[in-house]
Amino acid sequence: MAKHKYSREVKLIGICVIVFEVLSVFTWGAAFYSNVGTLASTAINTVNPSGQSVALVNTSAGATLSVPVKGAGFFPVTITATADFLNSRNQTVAQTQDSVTVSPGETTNLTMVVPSSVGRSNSAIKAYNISINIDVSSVYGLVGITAQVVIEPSKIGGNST
Amino acid sequence: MNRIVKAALWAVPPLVFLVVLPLVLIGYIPSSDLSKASSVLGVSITGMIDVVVLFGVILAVLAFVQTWSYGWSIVKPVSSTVHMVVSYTLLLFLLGFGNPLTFGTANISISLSAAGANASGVGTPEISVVSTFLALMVGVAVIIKAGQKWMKWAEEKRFHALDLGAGAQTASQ
Repeated sequence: MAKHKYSREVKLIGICVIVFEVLSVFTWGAAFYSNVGTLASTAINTVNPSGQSVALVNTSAGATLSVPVKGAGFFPVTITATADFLNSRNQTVAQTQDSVTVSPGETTNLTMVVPSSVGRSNSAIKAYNISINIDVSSVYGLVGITAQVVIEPSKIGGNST
Repeated sequence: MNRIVKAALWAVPPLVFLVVLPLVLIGYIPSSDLSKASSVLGVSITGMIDVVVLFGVILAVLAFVQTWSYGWSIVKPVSSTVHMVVSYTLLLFLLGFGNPLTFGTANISISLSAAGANASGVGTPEISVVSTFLALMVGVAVIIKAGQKWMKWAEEKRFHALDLGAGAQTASQ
């Protein structure tokens, strides 16, 4: 029986698929590393030297919270932070959100303003809980990490405003 | 090499990495730690291992069949395609942390009370790890590769027909 060879197309497709798979895995790994690195640098910046996390609600309404975000890894990373102020029925009464995109090595501030409707004054809405959502993503949002937690204001160093 | 021996050898890697290794590794972890990890993460770790073992057995059988079958036989591209689809489903299962339907997104709810942490005033943290990029790219690669397997089969079938024709001609001379 004669030894036959596959056509050039078949061989080429086989090689291209292997290269494509290897590149995909490397890109995914690099994007994931960028996300984790950026998230880690942000988490370090969010904790002050005394070890207490930055208090989002330990401030009066309209106060600004600024967290430096340093891009790490190989890809630009978009980091979005959202804080929903919830009433006693877990309905959102106010929200603050900011989103920044940082390139590797670049530092940008993530700025969140405490909504004017939430505060310590008697006329202000009382927030029983805060839903904090951190979203870190890269490669058009196809690689990312999202973390969400509902927390009492007192647990992050603030008062139950 | 004998076809059956070669096929048996190709069935060994899935059996080693997806059946033997997970079962051996899980044997080293105390069952109390496993049940604690399951309650913290809200997913049955032993259940996940069982599914991986099942995938391993299926992939081993498919690896055996695709190596054992002749290149010109329809069994070859069918078993290769099924093998790739099953491998891809396993990837989605692992990326989705037990749920392949999330298309590469692992949704994990961490029970702080089960972890022994003081959870008063703190809700259940929910973490999502999105790997849609990998799921998408590997999906594209699987489709292209499956197409290539069928092209290979078409060529093998043609070679086989040529060989049969040449064989018949030699016999008649």
